Amino acid sequence: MTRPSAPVPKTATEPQSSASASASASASASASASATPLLEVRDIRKTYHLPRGQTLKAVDGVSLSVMPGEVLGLVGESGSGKSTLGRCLLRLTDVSSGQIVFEGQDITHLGERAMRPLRQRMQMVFQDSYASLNPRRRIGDLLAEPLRVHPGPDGRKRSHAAITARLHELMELVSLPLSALERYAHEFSGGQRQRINIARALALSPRLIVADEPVSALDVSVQAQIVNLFTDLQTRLGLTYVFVAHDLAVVRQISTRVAVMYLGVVVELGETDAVLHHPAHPYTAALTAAVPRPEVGAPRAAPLGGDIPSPIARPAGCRFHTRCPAAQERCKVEDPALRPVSQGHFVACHFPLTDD
Amino acid sequence: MTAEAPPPPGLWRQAMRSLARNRTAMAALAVLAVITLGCALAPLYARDIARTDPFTSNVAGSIMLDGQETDIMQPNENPLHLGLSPIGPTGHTTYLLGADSQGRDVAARILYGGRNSLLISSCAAVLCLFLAAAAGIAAGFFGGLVDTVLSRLMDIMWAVPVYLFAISLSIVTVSQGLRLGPFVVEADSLLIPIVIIALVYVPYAARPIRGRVLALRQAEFVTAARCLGVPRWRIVLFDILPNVSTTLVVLGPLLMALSLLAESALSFLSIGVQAPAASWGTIIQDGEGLIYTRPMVAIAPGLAIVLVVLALNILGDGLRDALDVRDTARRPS
Repeated sequence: MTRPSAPVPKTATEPQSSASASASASASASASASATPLLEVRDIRKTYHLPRGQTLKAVDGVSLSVMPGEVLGLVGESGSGKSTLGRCLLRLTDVSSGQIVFEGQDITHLGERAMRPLRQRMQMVFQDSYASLNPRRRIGDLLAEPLRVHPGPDGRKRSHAAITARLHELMELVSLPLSALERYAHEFSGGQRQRINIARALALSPRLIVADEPVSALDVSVQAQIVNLFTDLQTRLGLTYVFVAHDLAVVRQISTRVAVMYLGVVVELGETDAVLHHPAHPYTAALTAAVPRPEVGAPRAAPLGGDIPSPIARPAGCRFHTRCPAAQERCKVEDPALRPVSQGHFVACHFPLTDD
Repeated sequence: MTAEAPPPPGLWRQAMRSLARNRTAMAALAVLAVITLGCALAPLYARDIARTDPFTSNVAGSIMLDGQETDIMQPNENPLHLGLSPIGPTGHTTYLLGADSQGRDVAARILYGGRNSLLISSCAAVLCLFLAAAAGIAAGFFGGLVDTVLSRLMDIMWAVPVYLFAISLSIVTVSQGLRLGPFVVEADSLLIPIVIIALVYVPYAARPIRGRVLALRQAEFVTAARCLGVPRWRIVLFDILPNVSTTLVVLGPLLMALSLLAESALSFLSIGVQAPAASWGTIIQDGEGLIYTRPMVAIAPGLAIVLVVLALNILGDGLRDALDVRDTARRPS
């Protein structure tokens, strides 16, 4: 099993030849060959052991790189492993195997204490804006917590005044009134609470933010505001996002690159435009076709039949063959590896779609 | 939400306001307050109102009732007037509820006994809550081996009936006191029933706390705190504890009621509060032999126990309702 150790531009290389598909974004066209990824994961797996000897492979061999300043969108249905992957990236869930490298440092096996200083530079925004805020603490107290725990830029404990000043900055960043600091989570709307969550994630000025479906629980009109806030903050603060979502419209708006996940693996990876407008994987094609179009009389694509199979008993061969309109005999036997179809665009399919 | 609105009151204040609107709970609180105050003022009552010494035997004494000198020990009302019974309820401030077999003022003894009963049950409840919170939070939050060891220990304690357990422990300690290295606890110390009662109820309080913490550990705000690099002790102290504090507060009065019953039982069996000190349990025991002739000696402290236990239960229910209001009704949909 070999994989390129350095980014290989232009020429197509097999990033992985293992049985399970995996993706390497190191050949991404957006990143220059010399740039080092902010976060890189190599063949990570997360297996849950269930009663009666069953295993659930939530993440089944994923390799990705996240370049500084980019927004990587992770899309997929429920059960595709995208949220688990997001948690693994930040070491909130321990991986079963594989490697996680953050800022060039292998963090796969770091303990809680060793991770603590790194936490300042990697943060998460959760899906459930209510559940992720302690209902019994005031917002100001919640936002101050990371500032109390971590030393200030001078390496010393932050003073009370410094914390207050930072809280005011954060409120301004996410456009909330200062009076919000005195209140409890239940007094806010979903969108306001998500702003609070974003403010908390920003408190320590991180470089990387993993956003786990941060807008999927919100009203559509509020979704747009929050997505705009994410975009706005990214340009102002030079952030890097891994943005988990199942809504392609949201992903299209915010992402520079997209990774499409299905049953624990990345099936397609590439620039947002390439993946969403010229999908090479039948699954991505079905996803994009299922997005309702605003034109009158726009043709509706035939929806994908059935549900995502259970990750406990995933299909042999290509894991998508049970629902794939183009499945052939080979797909039932052989698991396709992730391979390039064009520069920076990878797909795990024996019969990738072409534009014509 | 507008910027001008004043900051809302704290969550505890909201719960207390809600409790204050609950009339039944407030009545229970008033009953408890009156009884507690009465017991606290026991020395004043004995000295200035009853004018008796409730701790010395007075079988040969007499008191003035309506200008008549009356013996405290009265001949029985059988045809031959055989034997003596202590004086019954007099309807006067002195010996209001009559005398016990030692000729001591029952009313004054009930107030003094209440001091011990209430002190022991409240201290036991607080100690039990403290131990149960520590055990429940440790087991629930750290899980794994800590949880296994603590939970099995609780199961073992649980397997022994509470009263049997308390009685066994009491018999050993009451006969000899307790010597643990430099710590010496005298056999008649109130610490003995306090610690024993607190210990035997720990499993009952720890289990719901552990369950709550197990759920909280999975809560997303705990994950969020971990993600922020908050050390575990801070998560326990500032994220877990405030969320189990409602459980603790609701358990408090209920545990005190249970402790009061346990204390009375132990004292009734002479292995709780030791003579000459009184508790409601010991007074009931005094009254046991007089149950046919002077039932008031046993009934009055019994009534006091019933009243306090009922009031504590009602207060506990009221607290639960008051604290639940915020947890459920105000949780946004």
